[in-house]
Amino acid sequence: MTDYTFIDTDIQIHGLSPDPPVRAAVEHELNSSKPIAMSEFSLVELKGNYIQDLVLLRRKVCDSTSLELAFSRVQNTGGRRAALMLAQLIKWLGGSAFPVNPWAKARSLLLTHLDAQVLACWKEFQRKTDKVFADFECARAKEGPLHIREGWHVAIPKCSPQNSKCKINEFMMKFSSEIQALASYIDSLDAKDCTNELLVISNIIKKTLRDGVFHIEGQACRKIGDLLIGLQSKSGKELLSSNYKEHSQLHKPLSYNFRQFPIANIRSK
Amino acid sequence: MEKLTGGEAQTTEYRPRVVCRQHASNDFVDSGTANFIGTRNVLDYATYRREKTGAERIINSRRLRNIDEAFYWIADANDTVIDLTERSNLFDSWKDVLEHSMASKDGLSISQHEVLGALIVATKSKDISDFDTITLKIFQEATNILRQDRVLEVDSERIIEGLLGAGASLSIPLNTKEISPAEEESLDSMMEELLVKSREND
Repeated sequence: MTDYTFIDTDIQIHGLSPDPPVRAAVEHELNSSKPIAMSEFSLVELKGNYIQDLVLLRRKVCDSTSLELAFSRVQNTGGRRAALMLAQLIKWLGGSAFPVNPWAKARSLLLTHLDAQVLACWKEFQRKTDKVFADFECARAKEGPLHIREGWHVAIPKCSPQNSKCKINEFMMKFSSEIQALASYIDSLDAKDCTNELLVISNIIKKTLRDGVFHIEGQACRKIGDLLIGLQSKSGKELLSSNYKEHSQLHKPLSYNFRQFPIANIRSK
Repeated sequence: MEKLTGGEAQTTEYRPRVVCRQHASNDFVDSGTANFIGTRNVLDYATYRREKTGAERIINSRRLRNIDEAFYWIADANDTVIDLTERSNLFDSWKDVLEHSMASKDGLSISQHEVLGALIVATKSKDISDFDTITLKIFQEATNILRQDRVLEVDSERIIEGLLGAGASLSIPLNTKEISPAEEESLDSMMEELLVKSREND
């Protein structure tokens, strides 16, 4: 056990909120709760969420011949969240004064920032913490965004024994008593407290306990991210997260300290 | 209309890329290239490639000339012998060239975008007095890297890590989970306005 405060992936993402009070609250936590740590698995989640969105925007902007086409492609493939992200970037670049014509110039402006953001965010996420705990040596966490030809490769491959020499099995077995307790705890929960994520975790750990081995094939780890981050945070004094629904349940049988980041109260109304 | 010649020119792939001046602002050819190529409506593919390469060289060298000039500005802005007012003006001129360089021409590499984008985010709405000597030296080194025709991945990573290490914030807040309904509405109306402007150009 160390003095580290672990931050969940969502805290890093809140740090990129356009809402100034949210950003300020994250900054305050990062400065006042030192030393700060995160699980290596948070890097996989950051890449799988925020950075994937940046790369989607980059691809659609690059392939489009007008803002209208780019915006429509972003909306069709990335949904409302990605469309708002593009709008947010344009707002940062001048809002209504953004020089949308000629498109070649506008596109160049957008691509410059999107390319810079992919690398800068990846590096900045790691820099914000004092330590990244890598107890299970996740192969996917070591794979940063890659340049390929004139674009980015950020897809997260499915794990198999061939492409993953990680120690997730040893890590899970080290916490077999906690996992056993968690399986019983989830079974005892009322339906209203048992989220879909908790059910998925329950199914995977029951299989692990039954077989005596954690099956890494596919995306098993990504389905139990909250559990992995919770277990890793046992190396520190607490886990700070805004994910109340899962961690308010997981921390009891797993015996880690959970502190809620009250995002709903901080957010501008 | 002249007939397209050459094996490659027969393929439909190249047909739309043959320059028609009225399409100079579209996606296929930037206006600088179109101006260089001139007013003819159709070129054979070999001529088109030759002239386009020549045009790109000229445009690239213009960009490099500007960056070269910017390098001396940031180098002088770092010279503590020079009066602070002048240093501040040199710094602002350097920032202007970076902005211009970002918008002036498509076709920069990802690594060039990374360095340029990081410099622009790090210096947005800031003056020379907001930075310490170490950070200013990194700006100078980054500009020096941009003077090269090609930027290596290791160089762009080194610059970004250097800036982060010096305490610069390089992230643009783009997470949309925390957007309030009012802000969402404001973004929607901004996009509507810009899409109208975009259509006017068609």
